Amino acid sequence: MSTMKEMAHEYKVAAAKLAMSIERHKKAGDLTPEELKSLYRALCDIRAVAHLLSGYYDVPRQDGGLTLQGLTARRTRDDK
Amino acid sequence: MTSEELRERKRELMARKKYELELQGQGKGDPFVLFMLNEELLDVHAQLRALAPPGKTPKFGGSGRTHHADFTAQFNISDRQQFLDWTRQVSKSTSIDTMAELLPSVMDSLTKRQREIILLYADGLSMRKIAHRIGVDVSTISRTISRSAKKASRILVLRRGVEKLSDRGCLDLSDAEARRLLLSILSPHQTVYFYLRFVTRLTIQQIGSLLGVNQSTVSRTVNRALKRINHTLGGAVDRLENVGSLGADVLSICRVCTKPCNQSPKIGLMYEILSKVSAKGYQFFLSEEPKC
Repeated sequence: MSTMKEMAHEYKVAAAKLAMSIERHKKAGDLTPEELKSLYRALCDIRAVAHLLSGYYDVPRQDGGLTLQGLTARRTRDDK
Repeated sequence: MTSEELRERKRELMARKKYELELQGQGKGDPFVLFMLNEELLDVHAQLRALAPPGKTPKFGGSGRTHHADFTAQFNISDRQQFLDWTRQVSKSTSIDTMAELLPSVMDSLTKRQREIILLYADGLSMRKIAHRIGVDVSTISRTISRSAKKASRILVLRRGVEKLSDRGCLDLSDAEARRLLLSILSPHQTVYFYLRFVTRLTIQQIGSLLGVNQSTVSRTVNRALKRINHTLGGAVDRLENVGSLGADVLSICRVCTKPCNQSPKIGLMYEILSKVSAKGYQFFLSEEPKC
């Protein structure tokens, strides 16, 4: 089983290969703009996953933050 | 990775990219290596961006561009951890270092509600979300945040001033700057009561009969004044020396308060009494009936 860093590297390699092939297709001019657009979207997704796996989220992060725990809503003037 | 390590990695990658480009220019080298370097660079850039608060890129090297108020209110912080990372990264600047040390003590001086809202804001919640969560109006949140930021910055300035002027827990009031700092902590009413109690050495009963107020009012105001001084100075000062030199300042404060633009009848009366006291000595007035 591969680690997060190894997986991040694999995704980076995949992104590099895709970016290279997009460049090649652009030079050859054998793809329509829509096809190129979908390739760019796939490249963007792969990069996002690589970024996610590369260690930015190694630091502990909470969804709400510590101070949100145990907080109760105050009574408003709409309450009876 | 710290931002220093990330920047070092970026420099290294840029040098390698330059070398690869030169190789490709000569018809050598592998194009895949260049694309791979680009991917690495994109990753490093993303991590560097993540360490900086959104909308404001920190200027490294202690240029003094950031101020303490930025910590509490001005940043649009989207992530608490990111904010903490960022403060750690820029701690090279001495001013920020000092502020980071002082901030927890200032947080104690804020009220419970102010602290709660400031912490929620630092957690990255927008004012609208905080308002919804607590159940108050957005304007209340905005007002609370700006008031607590002002209060925190005022206390920080005072504490730093007192730290400079005090000597082993003792503040010498013969210094005009020290007098100004001390009196800026108190309200005009508290200043008068403080002066009568600790400078002219009147008892609570004597002050009550002199100003024509209840003893409990005097006691409460004096205690509140002392509490305010203790709270604001954060226990940095144990004793005050040469308190007698406060007299002229107290009178000038009262004089300012009795100007037509700041009309305050109570203070006006106090000023009259104080000026007579300072001219003839308080024993003269204590023998008379209360004036009001």
